[in-house]
Amino acid sequence: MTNPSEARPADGWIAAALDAHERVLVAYVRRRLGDLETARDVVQEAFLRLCRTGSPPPPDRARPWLYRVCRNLAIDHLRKEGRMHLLDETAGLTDPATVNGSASRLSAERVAERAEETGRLLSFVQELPARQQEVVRLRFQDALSYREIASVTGASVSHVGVLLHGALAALRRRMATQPTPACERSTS
Amino acid sequence: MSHRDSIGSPETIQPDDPRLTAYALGAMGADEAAAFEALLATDADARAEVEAIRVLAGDLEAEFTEASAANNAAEGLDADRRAAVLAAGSEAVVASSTPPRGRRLLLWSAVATAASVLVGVPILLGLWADSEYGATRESTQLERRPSLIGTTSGPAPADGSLPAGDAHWNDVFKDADIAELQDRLNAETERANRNAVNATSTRNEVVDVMKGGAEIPRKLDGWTRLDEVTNGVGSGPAVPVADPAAPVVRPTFGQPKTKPENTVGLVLDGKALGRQGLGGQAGRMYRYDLPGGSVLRVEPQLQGANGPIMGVPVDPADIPAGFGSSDMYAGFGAGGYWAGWNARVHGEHYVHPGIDGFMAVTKRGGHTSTFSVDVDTASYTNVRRLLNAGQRPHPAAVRLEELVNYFDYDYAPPAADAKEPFAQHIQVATCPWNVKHRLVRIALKGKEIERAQRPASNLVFLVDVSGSMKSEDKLPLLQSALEMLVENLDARDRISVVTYASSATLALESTNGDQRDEILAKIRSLKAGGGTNGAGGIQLAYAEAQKHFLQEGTNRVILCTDGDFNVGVSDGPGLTRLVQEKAKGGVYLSVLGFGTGNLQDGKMEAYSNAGNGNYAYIDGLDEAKRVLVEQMEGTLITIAKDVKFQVWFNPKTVHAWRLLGYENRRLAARDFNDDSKDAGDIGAGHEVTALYELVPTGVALPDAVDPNPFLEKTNAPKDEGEVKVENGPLPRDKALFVWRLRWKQPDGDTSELVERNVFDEGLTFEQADGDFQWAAGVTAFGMLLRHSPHRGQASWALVEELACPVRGEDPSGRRAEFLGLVAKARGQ
Repeated sequence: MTNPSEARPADGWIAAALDAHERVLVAYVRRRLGDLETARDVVQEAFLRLCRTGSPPPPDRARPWLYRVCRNLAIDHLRKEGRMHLLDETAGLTDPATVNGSASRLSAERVAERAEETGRLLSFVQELPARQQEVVRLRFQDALSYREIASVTGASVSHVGVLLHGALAALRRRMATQPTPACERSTS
Repeated sequence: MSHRDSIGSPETIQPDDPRLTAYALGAMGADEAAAFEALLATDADARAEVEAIRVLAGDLEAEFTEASAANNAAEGLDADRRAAVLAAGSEAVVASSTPPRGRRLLLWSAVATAASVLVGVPILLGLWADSEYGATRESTQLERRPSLIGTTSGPAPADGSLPAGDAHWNDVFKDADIAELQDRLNAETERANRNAVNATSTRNEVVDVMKGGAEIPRKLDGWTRLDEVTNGVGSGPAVPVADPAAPVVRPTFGQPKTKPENTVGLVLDGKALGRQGLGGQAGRMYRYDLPGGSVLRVEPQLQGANGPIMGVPVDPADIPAGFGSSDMYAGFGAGGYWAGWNARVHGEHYVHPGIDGFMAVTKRGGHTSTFSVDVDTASYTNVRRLLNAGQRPHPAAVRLEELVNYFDYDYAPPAADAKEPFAQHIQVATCPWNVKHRLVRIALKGKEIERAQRPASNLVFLVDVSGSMKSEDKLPLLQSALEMLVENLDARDRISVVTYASSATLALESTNGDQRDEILAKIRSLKAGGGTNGAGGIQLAYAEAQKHFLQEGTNRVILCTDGDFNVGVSDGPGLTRLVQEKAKGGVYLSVLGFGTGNLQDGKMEAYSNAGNGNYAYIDGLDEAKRVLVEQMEGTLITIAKDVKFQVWFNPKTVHAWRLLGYENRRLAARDFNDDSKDAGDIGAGHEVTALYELVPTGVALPDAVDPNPFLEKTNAPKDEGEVKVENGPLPRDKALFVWRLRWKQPDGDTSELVERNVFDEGLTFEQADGDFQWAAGVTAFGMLLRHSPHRGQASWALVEELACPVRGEDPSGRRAEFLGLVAKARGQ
């Protein structure tokens, strides 16, 4: 670790921002890209961009800004890898912008594995349409406010409200009907 | 929508009011929350709703926390990266008077400007304007700030009215904008909405077209129910249709040559749709009489069907060709009873291949079954796409044999010294959805040809580059797919590309497969744009194929399109004939379908069938890889052509039978020995699986009625007197059936015959091999999606029960994916 005392006093805010956000951001990007090292690259780049702004952001802006930059970098990364194509097939219904959209393509196996690790509810989250899934995750996994979610995803605050409400309603229906686990039930 | 309504009438809170969630999560500002509480006070349902949301929210947070703890999600940056950031932070402070903008910022400002026109305004208003959900969870105070976007189009908003730091920050936000992406999203949402509207308006237009000045009621008053009129009329044989629980229209037919009473050709949306029938499905047909004629209305009572279809009856002679042989009428054929209709779902055109019933062996035409093999798999990919998008596929989009043949099986290839280039795998066991029945699996496995030994290929890609091919899942996907293919070509191969849009162009002259750079450059330079008017596109492609014809190799035109197959020769018989002619000359046609929304499914399959080719629907890179690369041997090398199956049932052991799938590949019994009749091909390594469901003698048909006491012979399964086995040896007494196969060498004109007696060894379902069980599970899945009246005990649970234990190694992940689809279909 760099000794903070070596740095100039003026960059204290960068260090503070790192301390406050780097872990959640790495987890966030890793969720989208799957790979820790790539996630670290993305988060590093986001912080470098933060440095380039040259001045500390207003306190309430740093978090959504960093999320947003990370999100866009992650999307760029997926684009370059060509993985976006795979998400397009459900045009109109799945948000091609988010890798979370690939949940709809996750193999049953992976969905089931996840379910074992974390419980049914999260496996249902993975079945949500990408747009809904993203707001659910930002809200409950990253504890972002409606307003922050709006600025990260580029949706309006009221649209975030609609998406979140719709997502929770869908999850409740899903919990009520309990349909999923296909194979593992009977074979395990 | 109701959100607005609920705001307009604050007395009631609808369950879909997003304020419920906002309130439950504590995301409302104090004032708004107070107002909402006042509403809640009078609404017990809404209070319960809020409570339920809170519980779920608590669960979600808990599970997410648990999950991140389990995944050790606390990893941050490593020391090096962190140090780099801190170092950059120090430099940035020094250089903060000249923030690094320049070129990159200019670029982004262009995007941001475009965004401001399209979507930027709502985004940024959402950012800065006070929302209805005032306070954030942290109760931070956000100042109201003016929207910068829309007022600035230049690089830096040097707006003196804002503190320099903030202006800069807004700029940075723009930098990170995702305008382009958002744009695409919006466009897609719009398209989805438009499609929904179109579907409705198409139907409405039909009504308008039909009106001709007269009022046609949209409700059923004034309509005559045709099933009541026609039921019982007609002297044809009784139709075996099951599903006594549903209000079934039992199609009744006249003699085979007369027009069946309750199937009918319709004109819809200015286009003849072929014949509409209910084909044994639950449903009703109505007639509305006008002075000038009648309007007909078909109401299939299928879940997820597209609602009533109305149209003006047309004479069968008026139905344009080009729907292919699968554009069926109800009636009897050598393959048993079938009936079908064409359905139009959101602009995608499927030809319903019909529903087959049980055919009693003693009935006329019931002693034998003949069909052509088919290794197409497009239906599965299409079903997968729809289910993944949250839609139930239209029953017409589900072809059982294509579902079954999508999967890899463990069939052993033929021995090296085998006489035929394929091995047969026949098995008989208990039918899982009707334990009184026997299920028969007949499978072939083509011999594998090592890549190095494969014959050279002369491939001409005929690529649709019209404007509609622009979207990511079409031309760009095709380009990626072609790139993968090119990697697998070598110096012996030739590849050329013909494009068609407003006109046809030879984009890449026939080039040797090892000139990869040149080929790839050409492929990458393809761009979509313009109309679909490529007169001569297909001739050009065939001419190119002919010019570089490989006597010893594979010569194939591969049409890649999203459906509007308008390539110069007018649609229909002319084109089919051309394709057939060229196939006889040794140049085959394969069709790759791309995209959604305009899929001319039936048509594409018909053309590829005519050209001895495959039809595959490419819905993603995985599928492209599967079709073009993994199956390259199979897709491109034919090891046996015109492969036909024929089964002769033994009336002593089999009461009735039905073939699962292959509806549009059925042949007349006499075509079996006729070498001039085309049939499907088998490629290297290909697997073909066909299933029959047999009703043994002594077991009544599922829908059998009590025998008419006046007619002794009714429902008498063992009446051998009516059976005349004219063609082929009499099966041994105990055999279930005699299975025969005809095939030709890829370059041969004369077929060879394989024949075998098949006995029932009395296997239970569990004793059958894993591949048998898997195929049965997939078939049950398909029957459910098709709402087949013959599904018996099949249910989603049964599908899982059948398929799960035999998932096997599943190296490709396809079987796991299938189980995911079952879960989806089940939940829908």
